[in-house]
Amino acid sequence: MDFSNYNEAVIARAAALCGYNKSVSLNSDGTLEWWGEETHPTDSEMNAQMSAAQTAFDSQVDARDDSNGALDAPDAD
Amino acid sequence: MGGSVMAVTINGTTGISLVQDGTINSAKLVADSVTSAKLADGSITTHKIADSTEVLLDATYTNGDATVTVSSTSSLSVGMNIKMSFKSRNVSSGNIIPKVGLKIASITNSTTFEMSAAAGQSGTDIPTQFTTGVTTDKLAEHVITNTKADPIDVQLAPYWVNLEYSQNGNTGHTYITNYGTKISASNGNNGPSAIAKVQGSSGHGDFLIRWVPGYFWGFSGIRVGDMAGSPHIGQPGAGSTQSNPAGFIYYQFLNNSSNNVRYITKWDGSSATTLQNASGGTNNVEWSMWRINGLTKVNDGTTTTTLQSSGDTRDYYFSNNGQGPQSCELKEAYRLTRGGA
Repeated sequence: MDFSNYNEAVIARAAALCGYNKSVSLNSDGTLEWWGEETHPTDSEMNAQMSAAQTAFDSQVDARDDSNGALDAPDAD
Repeated sequence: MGGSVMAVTINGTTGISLVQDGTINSAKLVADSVTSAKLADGSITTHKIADSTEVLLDATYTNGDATVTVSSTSSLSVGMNIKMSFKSRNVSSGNIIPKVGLKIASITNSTTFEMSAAAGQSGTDIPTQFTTGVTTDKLAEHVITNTKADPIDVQLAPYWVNLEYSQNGNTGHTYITNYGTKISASNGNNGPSAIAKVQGSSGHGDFLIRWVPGYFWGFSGIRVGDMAGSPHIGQPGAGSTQSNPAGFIYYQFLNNSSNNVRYITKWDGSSATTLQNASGGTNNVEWSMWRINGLTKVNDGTTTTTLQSSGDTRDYYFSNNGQGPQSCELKEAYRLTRGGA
């Protein structure tokens, strides 16, 4: 599945909504990079959380002066 | 035979096998008479190109005049490229000669010659370099890539260069600190971050690099590529790193807290292998990579892994991993003389 339309910070949020708090990122071909982990959310599980993750990301972007929507972003100066 | 002969066709099979008397010099060829179509591809080989020569002389220039005076013109020849020597003294304003394109147009006598353009300032006993062969004037700007540069100019050194933003990084954040030795991003999971390259490259001989990877949600550490696969790395448009290039080695030496592993991978040019995925990430621990006599290894603070057991001569470049939050602090990085360790 191709996730390249999503910001990587949104992908990290979707993984967290799946209960997965380890590292995840986006490969250049649009697939998800799970960094060697054998147990992780499936593409469909991730896809099911993308909308909610995007909403949470956008909400945080609007609320911060630095427009940073990443999960666990420290308070802006 | 007197007079002139026009439009002679030499038999295509026989051709001209020998010019019996003397040589054909430039005076015997009208300008532009030899076109590229008359030279077969590859017909001019390296040994047919004259070796470069260099002469350093003190020269005296007069503003607005192309005549130059030196102690002796015996070592000069028409067509030589003229440059201010790197030892040249400064003048108060303007350039005595342009930086490129100036040549010896003619030699007048034993102490004077004419340049192809007039001097822009006067100057007495100005150290001047005269060169023949393939000079810098024949090279376009920025065509000398890392692998073609003088090794002194591309020495491996422990500081970050060629920063580029990743994961929506921007100027609102400071990424490089500690006098250029540390790159870090602390802006949330996959938040704004940056990638940079370690100054220089390993060269083909022995080297050592040490770094302290961060211990955060994102993977911190070093990524290592073969300069031969990415010769324009660091140049505009080429970026600071190129992951997994086809046909070339690429390593990742990474660490984090969320997976809590020390993660080492190797791309062999066509497929990736995980060399190390060991539980227990490191926090504030030095990692290192080195090559001695073609044997290349990496140490993750706990375990040493052999990357290549012999014959490794690749010229490696190094960059950090840009997945935030992350950090990577360089401790030392240098090339070693073969056999020096």
